[in-house]
Amino acid sequence: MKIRLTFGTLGLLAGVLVAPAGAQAASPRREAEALLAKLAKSERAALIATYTRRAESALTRALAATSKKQLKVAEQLESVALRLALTAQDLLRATDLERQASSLELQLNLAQEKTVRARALIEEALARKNRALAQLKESETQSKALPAQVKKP
Amino acid sequence: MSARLPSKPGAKPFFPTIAFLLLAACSAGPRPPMLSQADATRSAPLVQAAEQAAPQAFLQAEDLFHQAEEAYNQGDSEQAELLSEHAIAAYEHAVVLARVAVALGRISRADTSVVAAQQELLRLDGEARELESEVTEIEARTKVNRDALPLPKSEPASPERERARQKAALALLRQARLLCVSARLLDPAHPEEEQARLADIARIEQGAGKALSPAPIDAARRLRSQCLEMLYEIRKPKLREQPQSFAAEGLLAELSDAKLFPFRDDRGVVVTLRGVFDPSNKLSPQVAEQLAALGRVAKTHPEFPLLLVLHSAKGKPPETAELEKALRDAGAPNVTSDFAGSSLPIAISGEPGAEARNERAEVVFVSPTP
Repeated sequence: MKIRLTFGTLGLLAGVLVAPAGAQAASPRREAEALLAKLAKSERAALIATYTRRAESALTRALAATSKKQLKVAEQLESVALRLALTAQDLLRATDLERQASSLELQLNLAQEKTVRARALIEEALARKNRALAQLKESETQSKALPAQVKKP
Repeated sequence: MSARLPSKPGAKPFFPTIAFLLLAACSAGPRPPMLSQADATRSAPLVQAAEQAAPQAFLQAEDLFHQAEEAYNQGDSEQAELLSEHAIAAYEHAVVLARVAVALGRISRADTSVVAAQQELLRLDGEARELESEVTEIEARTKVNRDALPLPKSEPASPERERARQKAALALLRQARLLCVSARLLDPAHPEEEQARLADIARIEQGAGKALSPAPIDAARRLRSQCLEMLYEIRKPKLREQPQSFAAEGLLAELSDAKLFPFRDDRGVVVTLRGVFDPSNKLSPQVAEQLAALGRVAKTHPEFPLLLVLHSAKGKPPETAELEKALRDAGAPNVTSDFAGSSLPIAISGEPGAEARNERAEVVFVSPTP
């Protein structure tokens, strides 16, 4: 009996301690609402309107279900709302990243074009060098062909 | 009563089948539209593609879909509807997450490639500069070689021809002198060779002045070649140190922008000033302004020493101190002047306006590279 009482007391204590912590943990509803409030401030709210509208509708239906004491249904609808809000948030992230990727790819194209041009310039310079070398050789041959006394002052 | 139906050995396995049929009969109600929609969503190509790029999110959606189907099979249409709705949202989320993953992959690949392309570009740029420097050096060497090739020995000619040769020899000697002076300005630490050449030039000039026959045309050409070669040898190490240090290009642009009409020759970048002195033999205000502008440019390009060359129509040396002062006052750090006399005319003496055209000053920015 004594032991049972001890367990009972412990259980009660645990219930008292844990319950407020559980209550404080973010519920899907709270998370979804916070996210939707944040997304509503976005300059690109129109881009994600389909998802945010659906999320808000799910939250409204969840409220209705709560009032009908259909708690499980309400919980599921809140989860759907959170999922849709997260989708909206990730869609913004995806478009940002896609823009960044496009910008980098453009940079890459430019760098590759420059590389092609640089290679062409090198080819051109090589051709010039070969021509210049041929001309130098010719001038040296002409110089060597001259009698020594003519070359010296 | 006791009569019992004989139990057949194969009768037992029928019970699960009956149970299944009963269950199927319970769930045989109309399929919830949301479940059909979820089914259609999961077979969309974009969603299928998301399986590769966002497998975890896709699996979560699949799990929800299977739960929905199970609920439907158990006859719980409401639950099936709700789970289907969640599954659709999860499939859509998987598609968006797949876009994120694909974009991240593109960024990573492009980033790596951009770095590689930039490094390649730097390498190619360096190679191009080196080649350019080699070409410049070879071309300069060729020029020096060609210039050094003497013409066939000049035979004595008529007095008129000899006079023409005399003038040409004096012009060549003057050019040689200016090239040697330019070389000295670029390499003031080793004046021996330049001094020897300048002494040769002075000696031959004196001889030419006496109008001896034949004119020293061959010697003058040779001396000019030697001075040009000396200048080339002084410039060569600087060109190798900084292959693309073709600062003369920038200087040319700067002087052109200032409407000073520069041009290039073997010495460097040249600006010609006319009407230097007014009738009272004082520096004209317009030229004073031009000199100030030139001095300011020279201040920003200290690697180009200034060579001020005065040309006169009559051969009388004008006063250079005022011009040098104007340049120095504007900030030119290194100014040297030389007098070219009337040996390098632009217009033929005796033609109308020739005197005014031949009276001029040249401000030469002696170039440290070819």
